[in-house]
Amino acid sequence: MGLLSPWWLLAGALGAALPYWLHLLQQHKQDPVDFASTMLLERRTESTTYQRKLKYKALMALRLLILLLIAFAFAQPFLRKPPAILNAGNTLNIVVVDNSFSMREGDRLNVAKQEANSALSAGATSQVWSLGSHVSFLSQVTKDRAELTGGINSIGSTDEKSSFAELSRALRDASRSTGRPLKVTFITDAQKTALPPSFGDLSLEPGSEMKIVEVGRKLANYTIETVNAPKTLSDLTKAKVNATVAAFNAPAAKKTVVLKVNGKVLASKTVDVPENGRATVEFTGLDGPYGWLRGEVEISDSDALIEDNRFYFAVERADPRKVLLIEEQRGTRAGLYFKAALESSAQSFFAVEEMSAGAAASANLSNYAFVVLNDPGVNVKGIEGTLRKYVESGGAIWIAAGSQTGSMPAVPVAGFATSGSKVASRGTQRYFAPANVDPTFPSLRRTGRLEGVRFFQYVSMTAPEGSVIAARLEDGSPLLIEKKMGEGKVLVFASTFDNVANDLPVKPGFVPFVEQTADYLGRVEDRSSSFVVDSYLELRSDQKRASSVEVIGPKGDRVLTLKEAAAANTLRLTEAGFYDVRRENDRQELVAVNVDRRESVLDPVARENLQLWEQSGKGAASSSGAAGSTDTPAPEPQSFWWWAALLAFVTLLAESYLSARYLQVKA
Amino acid sequence: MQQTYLDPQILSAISGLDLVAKTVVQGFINGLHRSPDFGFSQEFAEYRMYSPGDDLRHVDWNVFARSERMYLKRYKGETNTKVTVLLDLSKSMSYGKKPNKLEYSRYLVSSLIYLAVQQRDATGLILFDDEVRQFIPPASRVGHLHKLLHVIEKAEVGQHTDFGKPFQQFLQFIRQRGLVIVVSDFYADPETVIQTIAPLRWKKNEVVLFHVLDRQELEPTVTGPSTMIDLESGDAVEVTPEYLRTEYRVKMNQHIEDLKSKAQGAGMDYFLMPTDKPLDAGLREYLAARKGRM
Repeated sequence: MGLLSPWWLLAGALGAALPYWLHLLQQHKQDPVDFASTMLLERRTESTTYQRKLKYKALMALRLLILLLIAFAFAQPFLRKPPAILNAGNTLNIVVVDNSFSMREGDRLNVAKQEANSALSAGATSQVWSLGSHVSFLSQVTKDRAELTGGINSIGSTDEKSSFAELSRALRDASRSTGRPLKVTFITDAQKTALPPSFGDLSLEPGSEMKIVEVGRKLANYTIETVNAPKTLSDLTKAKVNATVAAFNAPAAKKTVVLKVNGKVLASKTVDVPENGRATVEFTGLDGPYGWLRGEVEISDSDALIEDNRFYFAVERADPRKVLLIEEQRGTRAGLYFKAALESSAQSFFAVEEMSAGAAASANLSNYAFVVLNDPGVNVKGIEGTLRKYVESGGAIWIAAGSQTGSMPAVPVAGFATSGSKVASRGTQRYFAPANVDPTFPSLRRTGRLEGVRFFQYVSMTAPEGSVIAARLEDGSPLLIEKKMGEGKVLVFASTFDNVANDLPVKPGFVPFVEQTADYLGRVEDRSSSFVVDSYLELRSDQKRASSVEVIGPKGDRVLTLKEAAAANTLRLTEAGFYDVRRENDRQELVAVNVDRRESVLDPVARENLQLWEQSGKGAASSSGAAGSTDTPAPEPQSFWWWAALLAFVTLLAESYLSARYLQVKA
Repeated sequence: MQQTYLDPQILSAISGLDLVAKTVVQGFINGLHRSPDFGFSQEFAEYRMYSPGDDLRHVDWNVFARSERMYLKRYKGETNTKVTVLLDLSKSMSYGKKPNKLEYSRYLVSSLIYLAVQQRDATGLILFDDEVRQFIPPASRVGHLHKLLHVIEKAEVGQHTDFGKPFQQFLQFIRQRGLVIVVSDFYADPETVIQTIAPLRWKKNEVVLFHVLDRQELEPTVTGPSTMIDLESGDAVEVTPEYLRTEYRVKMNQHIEDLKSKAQGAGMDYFLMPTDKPLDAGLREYLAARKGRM
């Protein structure tokens, strides 16, 4: 036993002297009392006094004990408990089989299973694990060989990426929780990409033994590494699909790459892949019905790992979504620029519908992805309530403020107070340049911070608290303001889309600005449709609302249980392929999931590194043994201050009880 | 007139027994309504209006004849009584908080002597514990009072109390009858005390016993079990608060009652004087006893 803070004990001993001194004082008070004559007194009090003295002694003892126990607890006592490794004769054998995606190569997994079976020792307590991105326990801790063999035989191939750090973490946890020495047999292809960045993450608990059985080898492998395809399209003929073919440890070769949609081959191209390099293939045009299309880019030639020769992607074919452009007067220059910019994009998914403010009063706004108010003025006031209701129920409005807006006291719908239009003078300052542009704001990502754009006129307005100012002009006036209203949002551009108030429409940043803003307001980029195995798919955006989500997996089975379908917020994607997600209101979404392409690199870890890992448990044990000049791991200090504190509390209760009794007698 | 008597604790702050005695006695006399020392001698003192119930023998008929009003004629008393005060100096008399029993007894004895001298009585003093420590025969000459007061002031506690030996000596000093005042805490068997003092009574003496006790002796209070040490013998007795609250008080009351009844049975006056009691009560007792001597 030892003390981490022994000075506390000394302080406690000094503190304990206080009640002892008080006790002595108390005893002193019982000194004989002078009395005129004892002629009329009778001695009959001996027993009572004796009992009282006993009480005092017990109280004093309790008080001393309380102080000493508190001091003892503060001194942080600990016991040097021998490590479990020393007192446990029953070693736990753990057989781990790597069943990550790369184990699909050749007959690796079957060989690994055979090795695992042979690693089982008769009569030894063992457990079978499998390792992908996570560790799975395939049997209980048992000596039953049949159960262990069954566990091994149940191991199947997965699309997961192996993680050696995850295995080490699980082994450390097992060693600590069981308190038994581990003897680990790990059968793996020992991919280099499975190593963590830091070798320290692989360290094992002292006393753990590990043996790594390699069943892999270095092989040439080609794979489709990435595919870039639009997520949503209205015109499939414009679609461009780019695929990257990578060669790992492979010589230069000609590879035939095939594009399939819904299982139908649409195009095929041959590409020269350089040695250990990459080549890009571009397909133009897709074909398929409306709705979600299951796209695949595939290398038709076989190689070491066939399963990674295919890359899945999902494309939604849909009619373009309508955008309502409301103007005071139809056919303005601003409307023309806006419409041209939005429809010129190859990825564009929007069709602009122009309407006057009066006609918009009878339009059903819920049919539009978002609404654009070009220089709203007095005429828009009539439909302001409708527009506000549209926004609060989840819609989006983009307001371009011009001179008519500047003449109004507040921006319609948004309600920002205006102080009129500001025009750059013809003197020294001929225009206003943008400043403080937030490049991370969705509208401004590819606009080059609006550099070079000159603003000649803008509407000066005050952004209310809680709104986001994405860009300002050099004089500090807000240029682009976003405000959340209910479920939706309003984006206010303090100038117009024509080339009168500014020259933005004739600058290269205009089209990306309009396109990105349209995607942002139309919620096109809300969700990605391409994932890798082991990533998590968000099932609900509003976690407070109860709604049912249905997910059909790549094999056509329901992935979620009933409880998960009603309550789960995320889904772990464990297989490569297409996941059909049906969200609330029958919104369907197709998610393409691909294997992490690091699994395609079949380079094994150097044997020396594996040996270092194997010896990390032994090394830790021997190093700590050297420090203690014995050949055994150092005893682990186990603090037990809380027991002392608990005992002090119990003693305090006893003291209170005795004191109360004593005081009662006194009263 | 309501008289306000001085508290013994206040008296203890006054230095000099003569001043204490004078303060007590003057205050006492000023407050007297009808003093028992008037009306027994021929030395005229004053006239007083007749009131129903007054003895008609004392009416001055000459004045009545002249004024048709009834006046009583009042005379100053005679002082031919011998007063001897016996003061116990045993160690138990030193018990008590300020004033302790001895200090209180000094005030009492001084006041009595002072009053007696005022009444022109011959006054003597005997200090005793287990034997006579000092004896000053009764006298009424000038300067005798100061001598007595000086002796009282210098008196210190001795050892044990033994009434037998000093009283036997005292009986030899008694030549003629008078008033004998015994001031003591009487820690002895009442029967023995009375048997010892009773011979004084046989010689036609008026005997007054002043039983001086501290309040703590009458109603002792302790916070817990205590060991009581006898001041005279040094004996230790362990007692409990319960005992002191109940049985001891009963025994003390019994002791006082025994003493009182036996004293009265022997023709003596008994008077309990707790040390927190004003001294005028003692003076009244003296005057009552002196009246008995007339």
